[in-house]
Amino acid sequence: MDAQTLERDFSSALAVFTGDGSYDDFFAFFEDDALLVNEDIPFILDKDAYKDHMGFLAENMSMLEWIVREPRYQVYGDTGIVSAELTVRGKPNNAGFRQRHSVMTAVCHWNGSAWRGANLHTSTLLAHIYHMSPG
Amino acid sequence: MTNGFSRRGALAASAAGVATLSGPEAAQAAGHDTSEFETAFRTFVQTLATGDLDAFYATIHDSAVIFDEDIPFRLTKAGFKDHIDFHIGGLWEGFSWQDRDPNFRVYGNTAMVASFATFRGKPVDAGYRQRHMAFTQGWHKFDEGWRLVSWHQSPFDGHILEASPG
Repeated sequence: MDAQTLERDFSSALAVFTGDGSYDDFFAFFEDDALLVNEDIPFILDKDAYKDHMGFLAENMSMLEWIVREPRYQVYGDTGIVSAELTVRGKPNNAGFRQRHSVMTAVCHWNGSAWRGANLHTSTLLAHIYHMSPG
Repeated sequence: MTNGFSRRGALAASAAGVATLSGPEAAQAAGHDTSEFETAFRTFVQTLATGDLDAFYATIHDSAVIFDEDIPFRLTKAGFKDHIDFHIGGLWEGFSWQDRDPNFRVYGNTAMVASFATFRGKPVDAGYRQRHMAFTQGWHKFDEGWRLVSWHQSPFDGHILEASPG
């Protein structure tokens, strides 16, 4: 368990958005009781609700991609932390195109043979910019 | 709308998902004892509430990664301290950070908490300010105990504004 294996397992999970992976592999990476925060939804999601949202996006967009920028993989014993900049982009059906520039963190743990995701948190940059000053 | 799928439905499902989680009970049911970690988290929150910044920073690992709600860049611990120093350098008459309904998970020496929070207070020469947000934290249990290794805070407006393309 080191930063290289964390990068390998996390990148493999995200391959559905960055290459030729599958949604099954993406969701399998996360623990069944994982807690997730998506950039499009102002609630904490459990895994089923997160899958439901991804299904909604898959139905209503084409060319859906995640561009992961400047990823950083940090390991503390059996704990792995991934942080990165992220652009979620694609073409909504019957609309032009869409880009959501975001930041991302993932809390992972080593289960003895592989890294598993306990959390994925994505938030748009505008969340960190709008209203950051009170006046 | 296709196949009976709607955004309203997705949000309702999301809300229902949250409603059924309920923190420690759900975590215990899954076989993970969160009590020790919950104590560490609440102690950490208390250090901030009481202004014990030495203890607050001591809980944050030196290489922790932080996304603060006011800054669109990844921060180191030093960068985070610099930002906090900016805030406490005479800009506020008073402020507080309040976590709401935290949900805990523990997997061996790895723990995470997902919750909502409100950062509120009164800036000098301005009315008052509230920033409602979601936050997640990653923690690791070192020999000396639980320490925070990641913290991501994101205000709700960024999860709502422009969430739909048209």
